Amino acid sequence: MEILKHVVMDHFAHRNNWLTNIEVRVKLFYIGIALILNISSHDIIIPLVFFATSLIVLKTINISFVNLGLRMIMPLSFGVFIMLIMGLHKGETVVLSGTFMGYELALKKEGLLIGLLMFTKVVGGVMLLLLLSFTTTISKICMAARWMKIPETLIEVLSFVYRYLFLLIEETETMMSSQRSRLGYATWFKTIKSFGNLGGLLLIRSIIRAENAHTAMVSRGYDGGRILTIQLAPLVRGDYAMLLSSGILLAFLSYLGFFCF
Amino acid sequence: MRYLFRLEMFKMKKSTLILLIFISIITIPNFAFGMHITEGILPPKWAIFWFVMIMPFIVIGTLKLKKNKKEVPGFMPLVGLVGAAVFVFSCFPIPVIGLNGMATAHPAGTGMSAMLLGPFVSVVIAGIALFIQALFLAHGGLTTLGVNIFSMGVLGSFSGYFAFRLAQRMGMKLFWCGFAAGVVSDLFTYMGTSIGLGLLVLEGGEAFPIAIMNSAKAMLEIFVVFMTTSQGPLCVAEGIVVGFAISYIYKVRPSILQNLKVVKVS
Repeated sequence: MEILKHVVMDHFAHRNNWLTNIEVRVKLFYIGIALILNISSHDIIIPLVFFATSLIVLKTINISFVNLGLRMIMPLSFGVFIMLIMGLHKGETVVLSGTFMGYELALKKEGLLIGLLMFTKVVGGVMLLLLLSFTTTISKICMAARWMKIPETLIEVLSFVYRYLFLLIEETETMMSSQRSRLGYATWFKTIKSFGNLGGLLLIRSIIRAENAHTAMVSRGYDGGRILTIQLAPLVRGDYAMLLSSGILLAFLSYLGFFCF
Repeated sequence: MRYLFRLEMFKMKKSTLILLIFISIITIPNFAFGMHITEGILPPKWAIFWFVMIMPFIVIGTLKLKKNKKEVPGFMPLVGLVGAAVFVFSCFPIPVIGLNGMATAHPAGTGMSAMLLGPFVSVVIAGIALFIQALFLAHGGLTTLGVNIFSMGVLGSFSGYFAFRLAQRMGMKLFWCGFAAGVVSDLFTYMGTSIGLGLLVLEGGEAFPIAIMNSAKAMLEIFVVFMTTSQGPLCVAEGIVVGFAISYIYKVRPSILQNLKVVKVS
């Protein structure tokens, strides 16, 4: 849970730097198109270019390798997993084989190469996502979502979930340490029972808090309408320049990715 | 003969190595999150396919939310907070039995949300939770959001909800109803993930029956790998946790379950 709190916090996005100051719609445009190019790529160059450029850009705002590494571990493990799946199921040329409990396992070259491409796509795609999450707050994403005409109800639920998430994580940690001090995690069964009670208590508290939040919101004039009141400012000349330059960069990368290799 | 023996040993080592790699991937301590398909895995055609598949559920879920928002005062804060609570619940590091505390796994939580808020609203909550996880935890992704919502949101929520209702109809105790919802929703979630990954093996160049056979074989293998490592015991553990959680709420605040129409007023 401590790791989760450390990882999930969006305090990097609240910093003031050149990346956080870029208009959210420009960032979403770049990330969106880049993600599409990343998954459409036929070779490993384009995903690796996305990985390298995103990494360099993130290093300019002093994001440490530890922070990036913490978020990359699981996707990279998944990438290796999928590489093995492809190696086992695709291709003809066997590079590694063996049996396990009577079950034939053979890794094939062609499959591994497909898997390697997928692995690089994971690396590139995840780094692009990190570029967005390290530089954009959820409230800005909500504003952009409203601009994109995403239903208000979904934005409202997203805002609520995000608003109370950290609060509930902190409460859970407090309750967990109390349970731990009373040997609630001494055995496997005790651990499971403690988690069950913790889950139940968490839900009870969240429902009571929801009632209080609603009462407070009504007293402040909430009548079931939108809860996000801030609007995005119209795009200015600098934003259009940024949009154009990222568009040209992506078009160039797509040209490289689709026709050169 | 000696060389042959060595060769056999080497082969054995290689196969063991492959298996060890599999196990280590699935059971990395504290990071064995709910196996969402990560960003970059799906090619565009499959990404679009899964988005199309989930769209009706998201639309119906959103319409239900809108309707309830008008009719029930305070419904939106309730959904938001229960969503946040389920998100936190899905981050509980449950130790995998049999691995002596070496690995922890994380429950899906959709069985719980489907039980409390209904399957369609649960799909929306799962979608939002997956969106936040993709952005801020790098678990899952934006182009893979469709397949992840399908496996965790659609399959997990509906299977969990129906398992709970079926268990209730059979007159089981509340703990066992919660247990059924937890276990079944988890099983279906991993089945969905296995289907999503197994379909990647499907190739246009092969004859259709062969392609289907290969794909089905891959799905089965992935599902077996999930189930025989951390995720199989996790299904049972999540069932017990959900069972205890729902029993705890009933014991402490039964009115909450009655208001949410999870249990009937006696």
